[in-house]
Amino acid sequence: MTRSLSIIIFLIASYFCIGWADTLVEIQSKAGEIKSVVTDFIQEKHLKILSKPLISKGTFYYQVPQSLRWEYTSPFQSILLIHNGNIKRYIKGNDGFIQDSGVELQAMQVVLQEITLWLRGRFNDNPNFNAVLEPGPKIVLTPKEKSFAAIIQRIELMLSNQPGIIETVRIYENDTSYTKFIFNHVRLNKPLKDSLFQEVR
Amino acid sequence: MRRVCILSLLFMLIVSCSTYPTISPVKSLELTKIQGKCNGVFPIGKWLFVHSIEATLPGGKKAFMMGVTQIYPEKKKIHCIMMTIEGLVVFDGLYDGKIVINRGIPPFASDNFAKGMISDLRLIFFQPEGRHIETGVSDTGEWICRYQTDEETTVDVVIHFDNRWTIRRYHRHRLRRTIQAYLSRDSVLLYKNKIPERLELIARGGHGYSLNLKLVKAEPIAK
Repeated sequence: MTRSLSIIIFLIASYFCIGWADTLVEIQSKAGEIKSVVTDFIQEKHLKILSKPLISKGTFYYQVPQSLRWEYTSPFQSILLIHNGNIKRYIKGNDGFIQDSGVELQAMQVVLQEITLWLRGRFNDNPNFNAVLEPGPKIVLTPKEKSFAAIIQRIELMLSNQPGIIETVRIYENDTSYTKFIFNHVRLNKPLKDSLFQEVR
Repeated sequence: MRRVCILSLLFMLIVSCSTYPTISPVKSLELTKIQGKCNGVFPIGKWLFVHSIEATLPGGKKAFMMGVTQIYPEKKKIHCIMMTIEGLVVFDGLYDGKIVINRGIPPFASDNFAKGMISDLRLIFFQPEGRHIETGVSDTGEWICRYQTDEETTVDVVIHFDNRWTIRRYHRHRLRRTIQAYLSRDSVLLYKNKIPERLELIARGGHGYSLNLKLVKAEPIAK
């Protein structure tokens, strides 16, 4: 009896939580109305050897179809730009911004490719991941290939109650090492200049 | 005349890069003081460090990373994690007598990369192993402690008088690594230990590179 009641409560709760996002197709349809996103973010890096997570902060800009500006303001300044398939990163040093060679960005390609798909609601478009919609609403992406799972175990995206908005993203490398992005002060469909995705400024 | 000058300069550069400096002896009282200063550049106890790393690779290319390092000087044990600024761990390696790579994403997955990195970290954080062969003063007045770490390798710890120290490793009398450590008054007060706020490492040789490490956080490890 208690178990049946628990299941009923869980199902009712899930219904209210899912709301606008009943299926991945519906999410994609709603996300299709989004032309641009500007959001502040807090990045928490959790590692088994750290007593407290490492915190970074910044602002994230996205414009359809695949333009991205991923800007960190603390603990140091860094700007990652994606526009027309080109990826560049700059770090601010003592003599201004210096371009990164991209050696370490090779490993980031998978994540970067994913982000532009998520922002368009196309969670099923990457052939490397299986996407499942869970109550929350939460989308869980798991790698199809075992070799790929050695790099990223799974990705969890918590969706906001407001259509098209992602509240948090957790990228798990394993059970004890993961990166959590918390998005806040989200602004949708704000006109953005192309130069924002091409120049450091 | 100009050609002679350039040749002379080149000769001087070659000489200065390929031999280690002579050490003038000092009185025994000063000897103990210098040795104490040399020992003092290496952290005491177990520590966790977080650094931002700017690497200059062959050809002048730059790469930026974050490094998390746990050191256990008594056990000579190191745990090192390197990640992109966006938080993706590209290398996780442990040294406890031998190197174990827990995680590596190309181009950071190779044994050579792990070996080189652990070797650099040991040079930065651990007192050189082997015999302490000489202590004294250099021609330019700095205090020097010299260690013979194996038959072909020598390490100099050089104490400057402006909150700086240098560690130099020579192989067959040729300079292979230079580490420049910059100590700030703030970091001494904050960590109550000589934790440099900035470290510069220059690796010489065929695939030379340099690393600029800025301290983000230092934390003693309790357990």
